[in-house]
Amino acid sequence: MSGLDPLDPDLLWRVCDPDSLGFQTTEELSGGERWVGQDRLTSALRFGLGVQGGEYHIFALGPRETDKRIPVETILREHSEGAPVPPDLCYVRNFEDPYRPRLLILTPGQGAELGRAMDEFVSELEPALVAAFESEEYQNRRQALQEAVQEEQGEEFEELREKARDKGFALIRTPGGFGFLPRGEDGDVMEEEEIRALSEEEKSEYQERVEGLQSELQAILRTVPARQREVHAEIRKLDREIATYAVSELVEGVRKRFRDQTEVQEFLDVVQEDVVRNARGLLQQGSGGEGPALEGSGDDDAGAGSTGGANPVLTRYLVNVLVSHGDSDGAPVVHEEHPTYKNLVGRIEHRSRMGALTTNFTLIRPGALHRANGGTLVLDARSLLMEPFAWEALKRVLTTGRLKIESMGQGYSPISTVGLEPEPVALDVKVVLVGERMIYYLLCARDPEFQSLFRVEADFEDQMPWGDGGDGSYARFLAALIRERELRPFDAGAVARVIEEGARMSGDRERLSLRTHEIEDLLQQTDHWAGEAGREAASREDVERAVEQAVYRGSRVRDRAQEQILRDTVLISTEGQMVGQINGLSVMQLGKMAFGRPTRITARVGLGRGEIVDIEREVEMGGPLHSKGVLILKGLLAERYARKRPLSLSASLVFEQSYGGVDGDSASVAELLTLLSAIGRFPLAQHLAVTGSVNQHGRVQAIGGVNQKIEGFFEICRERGLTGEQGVVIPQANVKHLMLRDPVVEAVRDGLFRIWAVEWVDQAIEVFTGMPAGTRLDDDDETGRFTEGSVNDRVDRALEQMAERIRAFGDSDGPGSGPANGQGNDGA
Amino acid sequence: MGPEPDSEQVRIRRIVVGVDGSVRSRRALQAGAELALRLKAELEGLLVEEEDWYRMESYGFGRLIGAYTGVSRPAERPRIARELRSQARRVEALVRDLARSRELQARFRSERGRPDQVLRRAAAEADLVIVAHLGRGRGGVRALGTTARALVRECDTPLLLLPEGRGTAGRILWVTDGSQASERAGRVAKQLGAQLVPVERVPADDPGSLVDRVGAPGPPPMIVAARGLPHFAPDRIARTLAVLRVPLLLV
Repeated sequence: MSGLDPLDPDLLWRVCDPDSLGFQTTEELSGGERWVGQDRLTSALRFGLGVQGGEYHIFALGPRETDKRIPVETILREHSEGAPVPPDLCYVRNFEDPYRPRLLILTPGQGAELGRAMDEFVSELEPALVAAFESEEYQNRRQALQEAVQEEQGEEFEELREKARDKGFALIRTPGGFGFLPRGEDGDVMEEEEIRALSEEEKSEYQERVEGLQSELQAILRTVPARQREVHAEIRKLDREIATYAVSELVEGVRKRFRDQTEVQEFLDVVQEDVVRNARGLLQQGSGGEGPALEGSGDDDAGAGSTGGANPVLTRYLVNVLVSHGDSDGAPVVHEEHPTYKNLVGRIEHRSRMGALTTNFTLIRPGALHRANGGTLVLDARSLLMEPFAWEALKRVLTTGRLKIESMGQGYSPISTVGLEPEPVALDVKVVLVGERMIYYLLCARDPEFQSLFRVEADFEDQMPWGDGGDGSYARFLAALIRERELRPFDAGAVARVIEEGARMSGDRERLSLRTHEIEDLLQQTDHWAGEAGREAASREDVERAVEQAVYRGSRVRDRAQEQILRDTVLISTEGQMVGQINGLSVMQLGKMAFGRPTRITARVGLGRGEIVDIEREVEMGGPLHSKGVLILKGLLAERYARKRPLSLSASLVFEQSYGGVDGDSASVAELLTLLSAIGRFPLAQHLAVTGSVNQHGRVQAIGGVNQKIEGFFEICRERGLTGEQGVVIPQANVKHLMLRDPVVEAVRDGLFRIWAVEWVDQAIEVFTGMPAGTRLDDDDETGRFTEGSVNDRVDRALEQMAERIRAFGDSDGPGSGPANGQGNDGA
Repeated sequence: MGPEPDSEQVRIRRIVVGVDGSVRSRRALQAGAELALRLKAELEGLLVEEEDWYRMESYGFGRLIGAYTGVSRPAERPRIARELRSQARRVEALVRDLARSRELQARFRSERGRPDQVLRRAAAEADLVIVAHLGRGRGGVRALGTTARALVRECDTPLLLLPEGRGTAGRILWVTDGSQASERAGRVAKQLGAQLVPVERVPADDPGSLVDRVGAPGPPPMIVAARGLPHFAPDRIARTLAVLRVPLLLV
């Protein structure tokens, strides 16, 4: 065995001393620190909120496992407190163009106030108009106007009738008009027989007389339209007078409440004018009577709005209060959980009436952007991007600074229909998108508009240093989470154990995880088990149980994988020695659970031209990083063993019984060791496993998932029986990442399992072979050999023999380039 | 308020409305339909084709002057007949629509003759006759047309005279002098109200009270009075209507 010492058990798990925390339970930590370790984020958010300019919207990015929304909203709310309260937004009818509802911007609270005032106005208007138009005064005056004309015309008709009588005619009316019939001597209209009995002379005389009467009748009738116009004008004038009387007091009642609001005064002016102009029409249409069409009635007035069962036509005078901030004491912070197109920019609803869809300004509904205008809107980036049209709509609104409600049906329908076009709202909103880093980077790369609109990057830290003073602030962070989720208090032991687990989550004994979802999971589950145990405050045992149970729940696949190894379905040796065979280590991530498992890696060599065949790559089961690792090996071999001759081998490397993809370079040390073993024909210990990547100089580099890998091999060894020989070789650079579960630590402490940390591949060689790796005796001399009898010497000599055989083979028959084949190769 | 009249003794089962193509008569038909609905009575729209209309052609030089345009056309019988048929179809359609929309038993009939005679004959078989009457005439006294005047004088069937622009939705003012005729009128009033419309008793000897009640707030009322009461005698009705301008039911 090498002279390298295994790691001390104290390096395998960093302990947090509960006494160092300075409290009994988290109840004592009243303040809490939700923002621990997030200085960069808070600074970015505060900058983004404070900086002027419509392009400085914020993207808060962080890992999926971190709760981003609540922390962001907390800062936004702090910032919004005391900020100016934005105005109320209302839509009212545009009496000049009902298809373009008018926007009223009123001081906070005044919109809602106006809405209530106009509700009252509408409820009182109809009775007032009914009373006015059914009054005796109105009825009499109207009747008098109509009758005056009728009388005037009647008198003319009566005079004509008298004149006709004098001339021997009767004036009669038929469905098609007037006519004159001759009267007999008794004064009655002549019977047909009497008429036919008239002589031609008499008829001629009658005709002469009747022609004058007909001319007079025509003259009278010609004046009828003008008279009717006159009387209608007079009636309209009367209607205005009566309506003005009826409505002015009601309008004045509203006016008084909004003396300082010029826009309201102007609105009331047009309301009053509209009532006066259309009063009778309003009453008749509202009651379903045969009234004249409303002037400028471009939208569907009837049947919408909330007139409380009153005349639906009066909806036109209501106020649609889109957003009211009457109860606010700062700028709004709105979080839209379902950022559809409609929920963002608002919508125009329709009602079905007799099979037709109708709408009006009272059916305009606000979107989140309306509610957030003057403040901040928080949106989940993923949800936003998954909603059709929503992202494009948001960018358009932010770019133009105008919030225009458009029906998607109108926008995308092949048929152009008449619809409402509400007056756009000037937008002054700060949008904060919250999402995963990948989304942010994809948007940066793929959407040219994104970076010009979202110029502030607020990045969540997912780790914080676990320094000497780190425990306290992290404990307060945990306390804040516990309080937020209303969990039972945690005692110092439990907090210390969660802190240790925080390091395990981060995969680094010097750093603590800030991935709040994972931490909250642990806290919640600990609370559960504490409750099961009947404890008032969660203890260290509860945390242990929560961790243990979570691992147990998620380890079905891991257990099956281990079972396959233990039943020799998957071949992994944990004892003895083998040439060209080694235990590598890999990590599988399935859902929340990551676990390590050993993988047998084998190598075979033959004569060749220096090819190293990565079988994983050949069958397209190896990823690019894995291929890169293998190619690095070639460089290392060339540098170390082929200075004076070409590499004359053909080698193949394979992950045995690997049925899925392989990626990463963490097996490159293992691959190198097994390759050297195959070349030099020296055996490797099978009770060991190794992980680590190697560079072309032979330096072993850090890999990921070191804890899971060690534990994966440990579990197999433990099941087969710990011998004290078994262990794992890891990169020295990964020692700081070690946070191993208790069984491993205890086994190491008891001398039943060992972990070596290596900096160079030669150290790993010595651990696996028990032989010296050997150094080049004269490094400047290219002909120099390695220490005799060392591993490197055996490899060097084997390669030399292979080169000579190739040369000899070439002299006779030319060099072969067949596939790697260990058969017939007797090695060094 | 006097004793309630006995509504069981008067039953209005058939209502006849005299119609022509005018707006006025269409409204009378609608008012008739409302009453028929309230009373569960049968409604008949009766259009009279006046005989005189066809005579104009016979004397050769007769011409029709358009009531609206004033344009003069020859008074040809086929033209007049066509216009009459058109008018009849319109009125018939109106009756049909009313019957359908209000689920009434209603029919339409046209008859040639003199309007007063045709309506008198129809009244003999009806429980109530409704006619629209003209507005105020010269000096405010000529409020009845020839037909209405004749019906007032010569018809015993309850007769409802509808002034222009008035319906029968308002309350009922029962003008009574305590006579048997007035009591009968009261029973008809009660029947017309059909417990949906309040019936108020008004002493016949207090015309001021009647005027006040007519002018009270709310929809214009309908007056029910026995024929022959002061202000409701045939020679006074025109003046009374000219002053009150409300529907008047003579019983």
